[in-house]
Amino acid sequence: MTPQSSSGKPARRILVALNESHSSGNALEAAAKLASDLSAELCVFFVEEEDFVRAASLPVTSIVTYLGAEIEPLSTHSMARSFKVRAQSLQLRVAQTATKLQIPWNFSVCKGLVANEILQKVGASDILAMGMSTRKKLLRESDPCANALAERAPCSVLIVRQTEHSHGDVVVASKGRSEAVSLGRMLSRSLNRPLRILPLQDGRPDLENIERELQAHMADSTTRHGMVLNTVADDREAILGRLKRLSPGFLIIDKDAVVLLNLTPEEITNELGLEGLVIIENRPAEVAAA
Amino acid sequence: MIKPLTFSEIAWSCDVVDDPVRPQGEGPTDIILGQDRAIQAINFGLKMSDDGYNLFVLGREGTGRRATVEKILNREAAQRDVPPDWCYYSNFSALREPLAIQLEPGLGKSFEDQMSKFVYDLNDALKTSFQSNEYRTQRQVVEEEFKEKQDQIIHEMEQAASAIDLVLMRTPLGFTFAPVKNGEVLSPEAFQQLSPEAKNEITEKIKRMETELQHALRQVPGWAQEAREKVQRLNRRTATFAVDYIIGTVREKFQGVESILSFLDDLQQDILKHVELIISIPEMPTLGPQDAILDGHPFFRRYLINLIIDQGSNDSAPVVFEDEPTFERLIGTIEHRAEMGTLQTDLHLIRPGALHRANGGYLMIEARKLLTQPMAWEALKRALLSREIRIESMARALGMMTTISLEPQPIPLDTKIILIGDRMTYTLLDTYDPDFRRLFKVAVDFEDDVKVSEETSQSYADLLQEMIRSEKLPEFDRSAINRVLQFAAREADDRQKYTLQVDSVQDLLRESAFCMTERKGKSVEALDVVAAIQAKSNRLGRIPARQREAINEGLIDIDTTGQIVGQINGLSVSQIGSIVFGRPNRITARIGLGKGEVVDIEREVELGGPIHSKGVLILSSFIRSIFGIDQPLSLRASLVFEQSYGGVDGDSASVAEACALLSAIAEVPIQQKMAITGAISQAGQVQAIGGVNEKIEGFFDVCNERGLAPGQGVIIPVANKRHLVLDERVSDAVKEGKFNIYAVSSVEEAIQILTGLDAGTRGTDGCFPERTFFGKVERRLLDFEKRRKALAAEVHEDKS
Repeated sequence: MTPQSSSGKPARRILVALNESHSSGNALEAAAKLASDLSAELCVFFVEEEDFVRAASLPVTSIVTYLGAEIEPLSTHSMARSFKVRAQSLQLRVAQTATKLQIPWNFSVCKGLVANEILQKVGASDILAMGMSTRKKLLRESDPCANALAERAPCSVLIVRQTEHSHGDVVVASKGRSEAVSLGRMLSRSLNRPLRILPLQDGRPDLENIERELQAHMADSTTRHGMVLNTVADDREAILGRLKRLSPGFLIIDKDAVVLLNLTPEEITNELGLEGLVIIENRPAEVAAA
Repeated sequence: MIKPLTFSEIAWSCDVVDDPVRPQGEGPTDIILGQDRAIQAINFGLKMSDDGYNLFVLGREGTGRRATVEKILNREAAQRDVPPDWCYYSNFSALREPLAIQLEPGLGKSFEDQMSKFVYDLNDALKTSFQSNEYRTQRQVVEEEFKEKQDQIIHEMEQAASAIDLVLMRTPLGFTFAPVKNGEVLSPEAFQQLSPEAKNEITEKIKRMETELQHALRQVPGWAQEAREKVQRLNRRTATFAVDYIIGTVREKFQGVESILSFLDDLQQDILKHVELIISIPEMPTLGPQDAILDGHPFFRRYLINLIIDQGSNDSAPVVFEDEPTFERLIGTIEHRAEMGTLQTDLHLIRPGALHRANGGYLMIEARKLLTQPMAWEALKRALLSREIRIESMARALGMMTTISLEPQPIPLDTKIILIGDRMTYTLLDTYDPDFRRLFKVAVDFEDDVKVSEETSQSYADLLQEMIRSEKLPEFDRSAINRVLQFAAREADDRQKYTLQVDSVQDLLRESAFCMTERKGKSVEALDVVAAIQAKSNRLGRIPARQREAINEGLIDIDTTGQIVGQINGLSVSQIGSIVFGRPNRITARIGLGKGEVVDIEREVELGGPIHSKGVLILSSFIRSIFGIDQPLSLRASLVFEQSYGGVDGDSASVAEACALLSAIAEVPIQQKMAITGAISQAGQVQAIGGVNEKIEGFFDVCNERGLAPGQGVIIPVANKRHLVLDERVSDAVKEGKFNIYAVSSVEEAIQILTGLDAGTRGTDGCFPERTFFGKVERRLLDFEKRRKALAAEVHEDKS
């Protein structure tokens, strides 16, 4: 079965908001693998944070360096140069990753507020990939605000966290969305981890579709691991309880299930100790069509 | 009148024992023949345990030196204890200097296996421990604590900044504080519109916050260090827990072996010291066999050992023969492998040398090979003098290589060295190398031959039977064995000796067996041995055949019939490689009036060697002693080897030259059917020469090819009778009276045979009788003297 985007069409464009954080780098790696599996284009962009430029242009601001904690003068020129260097470095990294996997890619730089810029660009994309820091969000960093974007983005969102250990299974918690199951298959194969399915009860889960996907997965000789279909979960506590027991490394979950859980993406990620979270955009009509 | 030798005088037979041949299987084995002196020396050398009592076995090639020594060494080695195993292991405080460990025979292999298993278990145990939830949780606690401290100060700074309308931002360049209004960073334009007081206030606030942040951030490295130390302590605890059990297992197996236990203590400390590095190693190969570990991450190689000497399967001390005694093969070497364009090495690339393998036993080396290998002799001497084996590369020893290498701990040396060489090598080393006498105090001198006796003939026959058995050759009958014994005597060039250069005898046995197979016989007989000798002679006979052909075709002038004044057939022997053959040479003498000089034309043109010139001077002296006592010799004589273009040496033609000269003086012709060999003394005695058999056979072949004529033969010195071991073709001709061999002791006897005239003795008047050979010489010399005096008188009158 061909993996599909939330629009029901084959995935064509994966958007990655990239900065120099580890989680952002992990998001790039995961997105690149997905792009390779889905034959999609990898579109990466880097935002020159507008607030930084503004702060640099003030005559009273200085820099307290990360290394050595020295106070040094700050200027728009030095800020612009640091953006340029950072963008070049990130572009090189994207080029290396994409060339290795032989996928089409592009890299762009834009100026503005990160969240706004992402939302502007995501409209034309099928999946948005971004990193999420494990640190508490105490600072206004250049990282996009994952929670807000996950809620507002009109497409599926892949959030990758910076973790030191990677070992959990790939778990799909869905009512039977083709995109969810096939993304699960893709990740299972890419990451070489077992795939587990947790069918969600919201009315009637599309078990027939899940069965079809499962059969395709089992028949796929490139998938090394077997797969477990868990019993159907129907309410918040049951879903959360099952998910905790499954200890997923990567979770692919329907957006309405996220709403049902009443947790932000960050909370889900921290609660379950996830490496990555994929939120599948709700398209009930298309689910039915698929 | 001198009579020719009879067949019984020249034929060789094993007549000292009737039946030297025993049936196969009855004879003794491990026969060492005629080497009593050498064996005594070997036994002495092997029993002397003091420094420098190493052996130098000297003697000719093919005398069975190596086999004999090896037999004795094996016997001695079986009485000695098996020496220890040797391993190299890491010196964790100086990895460039691996340490050597000595273990009971067989324990080395067990230690090696245990350490391979240990590395496998170590990797597995560490991986398991460091991936456990307990470890991860504890580590996360430490790391989170550190992060929280960091976050806390940033959080506090952010809160403090927020309270005074500032925002703390993390830019690519560092932290910065900026003024905010309604949640937005103040734009430059808005800032410009502020009053100077407001601007100053913001500036002051930012400066204060920056200073506070600076102070706060300067605590971070201390916290980081604290966190690292905590993690290190956690790692050590975790590693100790993981390693204790598996090291304990190894310790249990080697209880009481202090050297191993000490190594394990050091190893445990090293693991704990490097635990962070070990757990950061991403993947180990599928472990198990040592090779896989060696191919895996290089770090783990330091915990494996290199068993360089394994005596586990031996039950006696080692006896090693090093056939290629190069520097490296002798003292061992440190190999390198190319990795990423550089040469790398470690203790597992230490390779043992022959000295290691022979340690605790015996090492045999051929001296010539050792001395022709660069630096090998020096390396051996160094090892013997220091009594330790120090492995180093030759390039490094020469200062030609500066690559970082190892300096393995030297291993104590306890090996008896046996050098095998020829006498010349021994003499040269003894003369020119001052260390040689200190290090090789025992000379084992192997005899070249052994006297024929009843006992030795029997032993020699037994030795032949042993060779036949060991070579799995067909049975040799009695006649064949006797014929081989004759060959052994011929090889010794003495009918009363057998050669001990058994290589050629062994070849004859093989070739005789081949001839028997060709003949389709059932056992090897004398005729097969003869056929083998002839076949070999034929294979090597091209040059002598060409020489005979040239004689027969008249290209080389040799008369074998008739009588000629001043001309005689001398005999020479030539050696070209392994080909030895004899041939006749025409020697002529011419005389004229002179002052008593004998001109050796060979010497004049520098074709004559010094010994030949000496012979000519001796014969001149002999003639003067007979004919020049009362009066000067008024002649000038010249002697030449006709058609000799390649040089002449030796004095074996001096009797022939004397006879030719005397014939020329006396004008008495010499029988050309005879050839003569012998060295003359000043008293006219005929002395022994070499190669008598080849010389006789050489003249016989020339005569035989022309068709043997009555009376043809050879005159040899009486002293050479004992050397006669002639080929059947000559001895048969002698037996049938077709060829004669005369043995003479003086020139007078030779002259009688050559001229048919009695040499003569001085009468009471002091003169030789007129009809004798010497009488004719004397008359002619008197004539010369008279003529010279007359000429002198005429010259004197003319001058007056």
